[in-house]
Amino acid sequence: MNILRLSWKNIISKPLPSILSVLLLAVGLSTAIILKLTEHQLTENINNTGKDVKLVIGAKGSRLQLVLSSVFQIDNPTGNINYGFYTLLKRNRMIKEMIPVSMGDSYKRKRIVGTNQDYIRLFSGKLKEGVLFENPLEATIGSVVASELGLKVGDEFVGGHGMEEVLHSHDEYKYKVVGVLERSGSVLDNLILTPVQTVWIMHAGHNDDSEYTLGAGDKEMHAPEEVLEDSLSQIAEEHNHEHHHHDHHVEVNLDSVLANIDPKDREITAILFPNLSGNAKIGVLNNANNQPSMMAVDPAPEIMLLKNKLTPFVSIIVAISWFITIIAMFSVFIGLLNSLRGRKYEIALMRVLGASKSKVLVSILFEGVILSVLGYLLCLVLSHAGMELIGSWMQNEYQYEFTGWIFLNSELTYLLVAIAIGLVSALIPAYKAYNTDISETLSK
Amino acid sequence: MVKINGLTYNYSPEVQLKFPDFSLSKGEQALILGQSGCGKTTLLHLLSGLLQPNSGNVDVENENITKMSGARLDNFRGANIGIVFQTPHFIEALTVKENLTLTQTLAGKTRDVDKVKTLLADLGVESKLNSKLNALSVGEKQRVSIARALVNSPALILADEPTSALDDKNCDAVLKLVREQAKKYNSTLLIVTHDNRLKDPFDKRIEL
Repeated sequence: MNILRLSWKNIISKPLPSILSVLLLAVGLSTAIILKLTEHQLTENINNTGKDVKLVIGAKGSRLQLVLSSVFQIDNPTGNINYGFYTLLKRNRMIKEMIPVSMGDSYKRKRIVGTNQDYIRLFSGKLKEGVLFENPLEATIGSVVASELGLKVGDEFVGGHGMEEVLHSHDEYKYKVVGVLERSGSVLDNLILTPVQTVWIMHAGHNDDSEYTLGAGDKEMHAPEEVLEDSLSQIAEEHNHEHHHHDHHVEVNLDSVLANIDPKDREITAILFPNLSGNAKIGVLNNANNQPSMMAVDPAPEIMLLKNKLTPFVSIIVAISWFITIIAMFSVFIGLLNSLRGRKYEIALMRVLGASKSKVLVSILFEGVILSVLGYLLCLVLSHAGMELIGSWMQNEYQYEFTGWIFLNSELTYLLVAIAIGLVSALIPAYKAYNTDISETLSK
Repeated sequence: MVKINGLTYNYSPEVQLKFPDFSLSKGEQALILGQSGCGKTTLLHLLSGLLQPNSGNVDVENENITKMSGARLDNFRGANIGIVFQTPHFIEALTVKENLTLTQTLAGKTRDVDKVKTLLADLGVESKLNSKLNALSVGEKQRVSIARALVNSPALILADEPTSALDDKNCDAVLKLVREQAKKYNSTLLIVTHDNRLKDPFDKRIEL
């Protein structure tokens, strides 16, 4: 029976106060660790996704919104720009790479992005099965889309207009899954990718009733009421003519549909520029900013701005986690003090049996440290399981996969923090035990 | 083996206690008698080094313990002096066995479960080896506390009113046991009491 075991036995002989202390400590520390895990993954994701996009061109509006919508696939697009501008820039030899993206449609809350194959390469996406999209209506889907919606190569589905709630479905044409990507930990996982032409075909004849055109300079602006009215009548109309649709599907010549789309209706949401720097970047920036309806945005400073905006919220959560941890410290302190009050005679007894003052001191410090190490171990379980839970919720909100199953080196420093808390809260009780007057205690 | 001379202890300037000189040889068994308040427990604490006297010396095993202090004194006490208290106290979180093995390790001795079992058997409480202390009766607890006082085979056993909390039947049995066991391990035994039931002949009777 050594001192460490004695401390352990003393802890488990009073389970309730011990559990309270351990639990409080675990909750306080896991709040801090969850925050760290989130911050780490968010930063990693932002860096992974954002680092290769040097410039974004989109419709005029909020600069941050343009970056969030077209690079991170979080926010709604600022509007559309004409595909003509893309083809114009294509002739510029200084621009090595540019990727069009076209958003606005979705299937079961998963975003459909019209783009080219460079988009997949930009995020180092790899095929798991099937092929990359090539022709209109073909779709290559991310791994999460495949697993969550149960889609596989060869499946067909009907997309809808709108990204959160589908305003109406494009049921004249069906998407066909031609490929599934491997899990990459990037935005690709949650996206349905298709050629930009697919979007035009889907929207042929629908353009006038969608908010899709808002902000596009060469389009007239709709009042919100008008849009709603149009959408409602559109839904009603589709409902009435539902039975006709089967006939439409029989023979569709996509090439002729595509050929009939007016060049001014060929739109994309944004253009992403990887590997653009120096004079080429300045040239594109000036060119785009001179257009009445467009703007060019460098994502890096916008991301920095966003991070700065988040700082106060992060600070509040950090403060809360420290608050809980300090309460936990008091709980350990009061718990030990209480337990020692009942064990005063036992402390004197230990001294009679040959334990020195310092041995008694160490045994009480051990109790504090054991409680705090238990709190730390429980906090590891709570924080990682909690992160996994929060992660599954955040994935739907932010198109990123957050996992609880990563471990940061900084988590080890929390072990030191925990031990320090245990020592500090045991200090006064241990000192009291150290100074017990044996003779007086035994005479009572 | 045990020798005190000129021992005084001042509770306050007004209350001073003076103890008669005496000495006990190895294996001797003595009774110290006195009414409550005459300093019996104080003497016991002085003999075990739990209190420092204002003057005088206490020799145990030819060592003057009034000159010792700190961890050395704690160690010496743990290894050489076993104490049986009036009301038996234990580390409540531990079992009987754990209390006794803790007594061995705190005194710097090696853990010896066989010795613990032998002692408990001699004292008739071997079935309580793995019991928690709160499951024991007062008589059983006092037997275990005798086992604890003996587990390190100390040179000196001090018993502070070991029978006053017990009924007549247990009183006789416990007294008989503590004397037998002290003899078995050739320990010097000093019982402090005001219990008139202790009528057995002792080698020495000291009145305070």
